[in-house]
Amino acid sequence: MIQKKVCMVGAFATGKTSLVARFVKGIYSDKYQTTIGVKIDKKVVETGANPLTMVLWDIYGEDEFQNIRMSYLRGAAGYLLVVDGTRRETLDIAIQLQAKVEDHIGPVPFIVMLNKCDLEASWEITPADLEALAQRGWKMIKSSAKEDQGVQDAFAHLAQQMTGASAQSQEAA
Amino acid sequence: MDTAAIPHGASPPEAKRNPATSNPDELAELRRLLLGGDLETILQDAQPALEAQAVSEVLAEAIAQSHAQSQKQLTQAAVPTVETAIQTSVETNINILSEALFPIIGPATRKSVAAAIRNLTQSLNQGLEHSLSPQSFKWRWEARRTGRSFAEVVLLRTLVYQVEQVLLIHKETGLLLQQVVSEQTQSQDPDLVSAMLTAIQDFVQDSFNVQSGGSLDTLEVGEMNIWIEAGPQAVLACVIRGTAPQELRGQLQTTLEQIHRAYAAPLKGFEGDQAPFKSSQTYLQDCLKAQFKTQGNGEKQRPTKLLMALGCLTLLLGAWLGLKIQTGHRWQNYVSQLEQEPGLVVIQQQRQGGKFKLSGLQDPLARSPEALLAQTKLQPEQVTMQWEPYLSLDQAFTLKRWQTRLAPPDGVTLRLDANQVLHISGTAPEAWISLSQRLLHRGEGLQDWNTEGLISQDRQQLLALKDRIEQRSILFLPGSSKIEPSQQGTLQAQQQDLAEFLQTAQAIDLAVYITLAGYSDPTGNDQENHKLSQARATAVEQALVQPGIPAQAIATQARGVSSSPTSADLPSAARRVSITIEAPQLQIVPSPAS
Repeated sequence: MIQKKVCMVGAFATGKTSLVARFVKGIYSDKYQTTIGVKIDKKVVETGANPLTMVLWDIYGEDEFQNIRMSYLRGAAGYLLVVDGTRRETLDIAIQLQAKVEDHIGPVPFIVMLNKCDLEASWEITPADLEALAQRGWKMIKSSAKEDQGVQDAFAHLAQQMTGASAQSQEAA
Repeated sequence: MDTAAIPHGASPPEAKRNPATSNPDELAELRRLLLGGDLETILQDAQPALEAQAVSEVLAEAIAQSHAQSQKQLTQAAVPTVETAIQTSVETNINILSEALFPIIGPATRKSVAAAIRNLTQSLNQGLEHSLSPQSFKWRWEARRTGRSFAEVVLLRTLVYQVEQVLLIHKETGLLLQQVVSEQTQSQDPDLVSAMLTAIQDFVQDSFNVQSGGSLDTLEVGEMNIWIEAGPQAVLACVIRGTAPQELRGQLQTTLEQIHRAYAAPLKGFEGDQAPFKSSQTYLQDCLKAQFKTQGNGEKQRPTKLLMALGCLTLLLGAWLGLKIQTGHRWQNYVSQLEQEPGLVVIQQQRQGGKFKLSGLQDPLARSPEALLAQTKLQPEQVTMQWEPYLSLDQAFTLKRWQTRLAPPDGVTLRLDANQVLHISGTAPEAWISLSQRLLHRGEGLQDWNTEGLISQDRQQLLALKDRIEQRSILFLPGSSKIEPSQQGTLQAQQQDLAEFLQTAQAIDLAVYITLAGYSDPTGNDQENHKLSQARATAVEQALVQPGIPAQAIATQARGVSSSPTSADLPSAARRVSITIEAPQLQIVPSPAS
């Protein structure tokens, strides 16, 4: 069994926990996030012949009062950078975070999740912004935890990038 | 200086000056010049063979020396080769190894099975030992409440400590490398636990500015302890229930060191693959230690406790039974005493619970059953009695009853013979005799009665008086019918006795006839004498009559010349008046009333 540590990174209230909740069923309650700043869940995905166990570290979102604990990122094989499409500032924070993370753990695969795509009509993020991100070579997936869009996709893509194999999601083990 | 341009032989002073620093090329050139090109070729070809031979000669000695100096490098270096060799052997022909291992696997399996059975027996013993203690009810309740098995709860509660789970965690990623869990332990998803433990460690380190090198090594929550040993690459986390000794910490460190040595390469190049660490389970298993409270002296305690409990129970039971038997015995004694007691008849007796019930017949003259009960050690409140009155035909009771009924005066004896005949003897007043004759009747244990030995006091007295009166005579002077003064004393005595006689006779309703007989002496003629004797009788009659002696009770009789004088010597004795009393029914023993 191959295991990988995966982190959920993003600004405060971008929907990281909802995305994880959509993806898995864990044993720890959300209160851990607010107490020690992280909540751990697990998801087994099929990547080709071998199943991959993703241990998800859902890290409490950064806001103006609290910086995320960089030590929680140590050893991560990949991460999901979550942006709230309806709040422009979450994109800026994501860009800063990405730089911090890369500085801390080196260049590991990551995917930008443009969350709350069910509210795309009221997005503050413009196509120009997305174009700029694409210019950086960032892989982006629009998602909605509420309507279960793009979630499985994002995790599968990340799994694929981490293992170099094609990934296929499977219900939680 | 270009050495190739100068011939070797042309510079001997240089070579002599410093041979150690001579150019190797120069030596090769010298060898070529001395031995020729062909020989050198032969030597080059033979060199590997020669070296192998030389090594083989010293190899065994070298290995032995390495072991003697207890250097582990050689062993460690040999491990991959040996492992590969075994793997190759298995792949080539599995039979060779399996046959070689067969003698080892058999005993090892037996040993392992025996150990498993021993463990099972121990847990059964513990279960049995605690199955009846007061604690066990608490534990049963806990088992019911928590959904665990009773055996599991017993194990948990008798535990000093138990390592329930050992996690080997990759330090950098927090990913689980391997884990072992003790039997009967419920564990959460170890992947999540190991990640969370890593997160907590990071959190503590970040939050409290722990100096580098320091780390969280113990978490304590209630009776659960988590001991964490961190190495450079891996972390060992032990979930312990109870209080483990400090030696365990040493064992964890040793195990972690061994793992670091054995898995140095896989740890360094860890990419999330657990497979290379599968064999580390054996190291982790060594850390699954446990110690129980009752271990060691448990086997001794159990029989003692059980025996003590049984002993107490037997003692109590014995005491209870003893008391019951003793009480029963006392009761039986009392009942048989009642049965032997005259005038008491036990009809029914029974025992209900701790109470006794008794019913029967009681003669009024019998001894009181309550008084007899008081003489025993039975508690009166334990006994309920119901007695109906009856008359006992027992000889003693019949006699007693008649004695009470007749109330004989002093001097009278009652005796009942075997034929139930009552013998009454002695002296009694006439009044009691006639009363008793009215009272006596057959039945109630009496067949008949006999009063032959019973003498009437009154009749006895009457006979005595009669004798006295008839002995006396009142004497007269010749030819006189006048009572002389000298005879007044006799006359008064006769008068007194006669009055008493008549009174007593009247009291017992006795018919009495009194005759005064007058006599004369032979002097004179018969006619005169007859007249004189009549006159004398009449004179006495007149003198005697007074209140208490009525004249009609007395008859006079002229007897003339006494034919049989009472005293022939005295002529005066012939001139007399005698009293004769006739009472036909006067005898000492009264005739039966019937």
